[in-house]
Amino acid sequence: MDHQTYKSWILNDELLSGEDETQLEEHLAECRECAELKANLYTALQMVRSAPQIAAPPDFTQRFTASLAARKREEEKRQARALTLALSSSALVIAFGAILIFLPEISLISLATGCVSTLLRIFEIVQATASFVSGFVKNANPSSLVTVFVVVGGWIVLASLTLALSVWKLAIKKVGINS
Amino acid sequence: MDPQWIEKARHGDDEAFTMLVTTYQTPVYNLCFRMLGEATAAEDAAQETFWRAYQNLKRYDPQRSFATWLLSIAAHYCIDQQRKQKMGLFELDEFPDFDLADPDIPNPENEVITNSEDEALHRLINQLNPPDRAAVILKYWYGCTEEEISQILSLTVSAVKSRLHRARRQLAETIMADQLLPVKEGQ
Repeated sequence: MDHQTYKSWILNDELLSGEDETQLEEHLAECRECAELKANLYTALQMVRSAPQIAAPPDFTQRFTASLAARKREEEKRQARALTLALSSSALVIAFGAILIFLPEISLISLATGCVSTLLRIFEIVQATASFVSGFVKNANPSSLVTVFVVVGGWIVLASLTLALSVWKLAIKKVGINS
Repeated sequence: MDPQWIEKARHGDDEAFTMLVTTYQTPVYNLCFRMLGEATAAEDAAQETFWRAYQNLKRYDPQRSFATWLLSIAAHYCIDQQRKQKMGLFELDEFPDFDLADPDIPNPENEVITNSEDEALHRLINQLNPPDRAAVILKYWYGCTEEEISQILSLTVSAVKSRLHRARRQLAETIMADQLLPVKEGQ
């Protein structure tokens, strides 16, 4: 049996079998370190076990009763505050919703109608542009088509380059807080 | 303790709960005192324990021991308090009031801690980290089994065993290092 096992037996503070107990006693007779460990542990646990139970102060219950009443009042106030806050928030949300829905100038109904008609108009413009482009592609001669594509393509490339350059310059100069 | 009182308290009877406070005040206070080592902090912790018990009484499982449930609340609260202290976190109302009591009038609570044996004991168990200290207090003062300690501290039984093993080694080492009490030869 190695030294660590005996240390572990001592520190586990559990009942050992008769045979293990004898082995431990034999080891303790030879090993000063383990004997000291056991003696020190015994002393420490005796100190802990023999310490008296400390009674609560005499008026502990009265103080608790008083504090319970105060805390309950505080809790009721807190609940009342929370309820008032919840009710006022709900009232505000309902009022705001009613204004949004029913006030003619900013009502959600007129807003939704406006949105739908704008979308329809945009769709019509896109449709007209698409039919014009397809008519142009069908009817125009090849040299005109190439010219148009070169001009439009060149313009798009130039615009993209200008945009990229502006962004890059802004990033380099750190325009804003740091400048 | 008559389970009827617990049942009445669970149904909102404040008088029944006060009976429970009277019955369990000493074990709860003693645990807090041994954990925190100071009378004012111990009383605050014990009061807080009963308030938390009062608030959560509906969640108490009557199949469990009421004392174990209360000790669990107290132990967790004390462990939290000591962690906060260690990290330097205090709530404003947690600062102790200045003690304006007349120093000539003997105070039995303070007398306990000035007792040299108790000081030595406090120094001894104060070496342990709060959960280990709680495990030692519950085992050697309250005679709790490892199973009960595991329920109180919300740990597994093997974690409790390992904590107790470590705590015992630390206690023995502290005795050896500090020589709190002379070690008798051949013990």
